[in-house]
Amino acid sequence: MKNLLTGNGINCQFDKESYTSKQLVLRILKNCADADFPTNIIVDQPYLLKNYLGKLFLFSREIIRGEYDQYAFGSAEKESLASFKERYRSNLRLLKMTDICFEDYFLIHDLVCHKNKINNPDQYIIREAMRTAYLYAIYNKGRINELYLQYPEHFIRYLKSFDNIFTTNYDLNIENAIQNSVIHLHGQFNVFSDVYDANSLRNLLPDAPIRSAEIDPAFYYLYSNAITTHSGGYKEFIIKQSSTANKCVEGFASAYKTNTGIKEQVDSWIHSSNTLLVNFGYAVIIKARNPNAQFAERYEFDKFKHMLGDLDILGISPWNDFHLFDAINKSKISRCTYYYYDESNCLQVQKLLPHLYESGRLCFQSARKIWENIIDEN
Amino acid sequence: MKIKSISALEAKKWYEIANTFARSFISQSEAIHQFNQITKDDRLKIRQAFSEYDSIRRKMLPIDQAEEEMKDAYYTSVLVDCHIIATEFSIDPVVATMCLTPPCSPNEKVLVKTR
Repeated sequence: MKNLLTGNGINCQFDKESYTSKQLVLRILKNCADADFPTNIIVDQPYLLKNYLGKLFLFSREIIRGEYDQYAFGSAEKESLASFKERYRSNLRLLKMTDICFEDYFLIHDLVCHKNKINNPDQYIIREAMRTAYLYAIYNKGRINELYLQYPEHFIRYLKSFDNIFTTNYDLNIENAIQNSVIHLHGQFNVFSDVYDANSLRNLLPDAPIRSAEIDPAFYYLYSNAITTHSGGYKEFIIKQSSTANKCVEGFASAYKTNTGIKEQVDSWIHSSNTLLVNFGYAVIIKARNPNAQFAERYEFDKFKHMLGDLDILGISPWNDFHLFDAINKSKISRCTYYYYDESNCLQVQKLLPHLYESGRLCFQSARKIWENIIDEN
Repeated sequence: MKIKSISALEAKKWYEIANTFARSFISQSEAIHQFNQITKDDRLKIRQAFSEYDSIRRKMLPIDQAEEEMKDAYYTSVLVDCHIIATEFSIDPVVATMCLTPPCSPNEKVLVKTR
């Protein structure tokens, strides 16, 4: 089996002006002045977002200097913080807002919230505004989905040579190019997130979020299941959330039907003052009556974890999404080829894939050469 | 480009006022060196860009907030604009701000007198 894992590096290859980390942050900031900024979805007063990001930048310098170390909670956050400091420390003096990857702004936001005791719902609401602003910038008024029109024939043949293509991108360029399905490990623009899916178990519960949601179809991609956060661990948590919830609800539903004691317990939950318990109770009851009801599972991460054969990694940075590298390292693939743009990334990849490296299953090739070949062939 | 000599005090004032907004970490001498590399056309474009962002800011910032909040919102908004413009022109944010009120003409470089 031949597998391919791709990421934003491919988009940057076909549009060097619009999708680099720097360009995305720049576009987010400039979009705040756009006349057609979706104030009905992201934030009603865009200057609030722009200014908030400015403040986060100022805090980032304190974070890099170690002044927020005590505000990182949990291993995922501590890991993200360590990586953040390592990546930006040497450039602290010259750092600009656009030098910080936007996903790192989520970490800064969380640390600042911890320090200033800002909790949910405010912490969540602000993070969602940042997230949708990021998706708005990536989508780039639809231009992102047109990149495949530039794909040379040789590149399309290269893509078609794979049995499975996994991507961390949200766009549909590869499937449009090869006319076949692609597995989006972090979601995709054209798939609604669970809370906006009318068929999901989430929206069969009494507080169904879809009832109060006003979906603007012109910005459908802002309601998508695209995942973005600073931590690979958090991404993996979100990816697995629905399947974990489904297993749990299924187990309880099965017991609800056969065990009187469990049934009484679950029936009492729907009268609780705790919203989570009420929802869980209703989810179990609904599942017991309708076995097909479930939380939408959309990320197919298990397929990625259990892939076999060879894996090529093209256009993926080794400085984030560590959960992907962890899954690859634990997988049973025969061979992994990492295509590097910068040779210094190879050492990082070796650290992330120690089992593959030690067993001789990891090799490196220059991505520049592959792109030169692809362009030359045409 | 012609050279315009300015006093050390003038240079300090120019840099420090600009950096009130930009909050940069680069030194005054680094900033002036970078400023001197910017072409006349780019200096004018930078000033134009700030002017455009300023017009947008006047429409966006609410006027019904307390004075301290307004001041903070204004300074932060200018800071972000410094970074936007600095990125577009590949310069430091303080250098972008120094283009607004330089002590020289657009086609002059600045030399700081040592005495």
